[in-house]
Amino acid sequence: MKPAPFSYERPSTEAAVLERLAGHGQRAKLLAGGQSLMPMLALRLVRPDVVIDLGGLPDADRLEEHDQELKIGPLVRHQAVVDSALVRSKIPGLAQAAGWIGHREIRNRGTVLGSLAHADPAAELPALAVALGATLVCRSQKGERLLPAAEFFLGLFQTALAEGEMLVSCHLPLNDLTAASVFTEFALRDGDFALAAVAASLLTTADGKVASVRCAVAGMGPMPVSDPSAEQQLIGETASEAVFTDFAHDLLSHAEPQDDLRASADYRLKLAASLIVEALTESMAAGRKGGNARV
Amino acid sequence: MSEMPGRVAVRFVVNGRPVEREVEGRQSLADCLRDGLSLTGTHLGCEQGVCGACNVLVDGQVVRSCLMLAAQAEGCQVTTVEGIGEGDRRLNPLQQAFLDNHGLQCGFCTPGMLIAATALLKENPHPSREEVTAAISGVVCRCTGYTDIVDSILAAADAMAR
Repeated sequence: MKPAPFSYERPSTEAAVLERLAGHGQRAKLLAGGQSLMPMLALRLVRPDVVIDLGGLPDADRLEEHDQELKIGPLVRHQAVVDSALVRSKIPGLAQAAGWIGHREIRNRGTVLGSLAHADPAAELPALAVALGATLVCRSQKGERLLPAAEFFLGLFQTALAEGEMLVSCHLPLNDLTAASVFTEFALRDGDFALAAVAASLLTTADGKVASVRCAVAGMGPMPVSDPSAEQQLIGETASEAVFTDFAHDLLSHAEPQDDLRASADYRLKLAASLIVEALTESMAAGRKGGNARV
Repeated sequence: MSEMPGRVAVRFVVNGRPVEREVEGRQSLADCLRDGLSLTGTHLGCEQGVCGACNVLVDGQVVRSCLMLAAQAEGCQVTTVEGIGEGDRRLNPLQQAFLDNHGLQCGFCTPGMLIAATALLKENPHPSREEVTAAISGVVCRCTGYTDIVDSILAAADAMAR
């Protein structure tokens, strides 16, 4: 239960982090909040030669609005997101998603970007990033790539981050659709990993037709599941539980839930369908209340 | 101490006392507190972030000390269970409430519970029963069934309001 030995480095600039990352290659692991990496080190599921702590980077905990986007820096912790008035008012689904993560002890240390880079299939934030169309900024000594979240997650704990690359920022659009965002999940106990989790956002027109919709689910396969063509089909339909249920069915046709001790795959599918309908309904109500409906 | 590969100099403040250590890069804050600083009130159950017995306050926030490297505590204010009393070995109202309400049996989880409750009551001096339950949901107790722990924290909130 103790990590294998490693060298610890704490650079004080991003350039120095990228330089070390380039030098060490796959022998190095980046450490942000450590709430996923530390257990993996303790269990020796990972044995890096070098751990590069991002804790010395100045202003890395910046969470700010810029050009109608929310920009999240590499050391923004989950609890900072939960407590942010900006996030709660302009992109409430993000605050809700962060609030579902682990226990308070974990939220006080764990970071948004760390969770995205870790890409746990049951994690909340990857699904939220996919649903709300986040852009992930990946930087290395060679330059910078901007990846849509839907192209960032490649599989179980697999992302598009290349060797020598670091996730330096997550940009989330701030608009009427994200202002109506909702995140909900079901776990057996407070703080447990979700059996299924849903990020959703839906706006309706004045006459009750779906104007725009985004949705992704977590815990239902190796990475977040979404279905842009089902979203397109939902647009123009009169919003109702029945059409939401059909949408959930279409989306979940891409899901690959697993049986385990906590729940059967079949139960997870039913749970996810019910959570999708619930989240879409809640988001629709939030959108109307905020006067955000677009024609 | 000779400069061995992987050793890191770290300075932080524990319970108001500045400390300076040379630690292995891999050493957790929990091990540093217990083995390096003899603050054995912080308990280690699972060493993988599940049980909560190792909870401490870092800059006033409750965190798992097994999920933090000692080196990451650089420049931080750390408070362990030894640091929450009132000096002269007197119990503070929270500790007294645990004693009065049978909020502990074997005592293994108690440091984690006390630290979680300390953080809660600082942020929310009048928590509901549900808020208390949520605040201690990250600490596992195998003896009490939690009821007496929740009662203790609610009693402490009452006592502190008086």
